[in-house]
Amino acid sequence: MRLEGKVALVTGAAGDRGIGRGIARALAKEGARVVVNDVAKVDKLEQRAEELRALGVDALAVAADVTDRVAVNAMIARTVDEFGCLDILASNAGVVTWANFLDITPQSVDFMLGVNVCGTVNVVQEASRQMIAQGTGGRIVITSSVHAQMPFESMAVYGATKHALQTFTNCLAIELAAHKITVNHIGPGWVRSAINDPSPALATDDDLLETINMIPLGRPSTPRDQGRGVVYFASSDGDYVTGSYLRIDGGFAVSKY
Amino acid sequence: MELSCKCALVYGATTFLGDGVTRSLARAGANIAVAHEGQEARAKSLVTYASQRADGQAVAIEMSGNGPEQAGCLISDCVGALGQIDIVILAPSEITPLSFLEQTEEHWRRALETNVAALLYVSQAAARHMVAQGCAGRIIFLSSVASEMAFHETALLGTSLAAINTVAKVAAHELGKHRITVNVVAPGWVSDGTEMYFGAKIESDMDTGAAREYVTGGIPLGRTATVDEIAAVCVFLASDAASYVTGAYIPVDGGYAITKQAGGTPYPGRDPWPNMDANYDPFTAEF
Repeated sequence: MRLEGKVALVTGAAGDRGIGRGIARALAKEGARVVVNDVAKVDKLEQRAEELRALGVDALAVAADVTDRVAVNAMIARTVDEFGCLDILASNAGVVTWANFLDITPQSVDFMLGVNVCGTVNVVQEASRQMIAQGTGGRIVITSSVHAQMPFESMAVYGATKHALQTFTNCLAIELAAHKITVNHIGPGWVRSAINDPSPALATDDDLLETINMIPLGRPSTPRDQGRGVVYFASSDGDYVTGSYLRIDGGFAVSKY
Repeated sequence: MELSCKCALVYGATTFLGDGVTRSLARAGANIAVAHEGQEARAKSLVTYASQRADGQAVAIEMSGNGPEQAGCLISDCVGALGQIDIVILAPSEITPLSFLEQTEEHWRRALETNVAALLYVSQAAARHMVAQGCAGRIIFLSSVASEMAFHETALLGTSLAAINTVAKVAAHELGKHRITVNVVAPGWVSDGTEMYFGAKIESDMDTGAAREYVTGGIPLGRTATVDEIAAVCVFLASDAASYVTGAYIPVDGGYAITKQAGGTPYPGRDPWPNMDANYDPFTAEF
C-alpha cells in the first residue's frame, strides 16, 4: 500500500471502460481515499464511488464540469471538507470528436480545447492552490495521449490539445517544483473506452484487427495499465520525477508497422 | 547558379543517395570531389557527369580505409585537387533491413564502423580544415527517418544513424562560433522508377504492385521520393539561402514518419487479444 492516507481526485472517472475508472481503482488499491468526478452520468459516478469503497477505502462522487471554474472550485472545496486535504490530482477528463481537417467545425474546436486544455488548466490551477496552501507538496498527473506525438487522420485538433498539455505539464513542472508539487503526464495508447467507440479507425472488425496489428504488444490497453502508471508518479517511486512523459501504449507510437 | 565557385566533397558518393546528391550539387554549379573505396567505375561516371559543365571541376579520390587517418588524407587530397572545401556531404553505407534475431556481432560492428565512426571522422577532419581556413562551411549528413522511428527490421540502420543525428546536433552547437552549419537530411522511401530503397535497395517483393501499393499507402503524399527530391534539400542546405539553418533534422519522406497509417500487417498470424471481445471487462481480472 503505497498511498495510504493520501487523498486523490480523479476527473473524468464515470465511464465503465474509461481510463479514469482504471486510475481511480489503481489509486484505491494502494490505499488512497479517492474523489471521482465526471460532468454527467451521476448514477455511474455513484457506482464508481461504491466500487472504490468495496476496495476498502473512503470514496466520494462529485459531479462537476471542469470547464466551469466555479464548479471546479466547489469540487476542490468539497474534497477538502470531506477528506481534509488534496495530495494527488489525476486530471483525466478529456473529449474527442473525429473529423477530416476540412470538415472540422468551430463547435468541435471549442469543445475539445474547452475540456482538454481549459478544463485541465482549471482543475490543475485550483488543485495546485490547495496543495500550496496545505504546504505538503503534491502530485499532479495529466492524461495526455500518444496523439501528442503521433498524428492520426481526423484527429488534428485532438492531437493539438494533447500536445498543448505537454508544454503545459513541462512549464508547471518548473513553476510548481518550489512547492514540492510534481507534474507529469501519461500517454495512453488505444484503450477500449466509450470515448473511442466512434473512431473511424475502429469501425469494422478488419479495422480493429489492423489497429491491433499496429501495436507491438498486440492488444489494446486496459484502464488498469493506465492507472498503474499514475500510481507510479503519485507514489514515492516518483519522488524525483517531474515534467516527465510516460507512454503506456504497448509500443504503438514507436513503430510504423 | 546557387553553388557556383563552391567546392563540395561527397563521402559515400557511390551509394544510391550519394550518387544522386553528387549529380545535383554538380548541376547547381559546385565543383565536386567524389570519395570512394574502390568503386572506380561509379566514381568515374560521377566525375564525367560533373565535368560536363563548362566550368566544372571534378575529381575522384580513392580511400584506403575509413579510419581517422584516411579521413585526414581525404581532406588533404581534396584540398590539393580543388583548393578548398566549402561543403561536405556524408552519405551512409547502405544497410539492408535484417531481423533483430538474425543480427550478429559482425553486422553491428560494420554498421557502427561505416555509419557512425567513418562519417564522424570525415566530418571532423573537414570541420578542422574549415575552422583553420576560416571558411563558413556546410556539413550535411544523410540519415534516415528510421533513425527517429521504429520500422520493421531497421535496428542497424536506425541505431547507427540516430547516433549520427546526435553527432550533427552537438557539432552544430560547437561549430556555430566558426560559422559552420551542420544539418541532417532524413529520407524515407526513395525510388528510381524500378527499384525501391529504404536505407538500401529492398530486395524483397517490392517490385510487385501490391508491395509498392502497401508502402505508398503509408505515405501521405502517396508516392516514394525521387533521389533528386532528396538532393534538392541538400543543395538548399549547402546554399546561401540556408545560412541561418543549423542543427536541423529535415525528414524528406512525403510524411511517412509522421503517420501510423499503413496497410497490411507486420505481425502476420498474431491473433486478436482476448479483450477484443466486446463483453470483456478488464475489471473482472485481478488488478
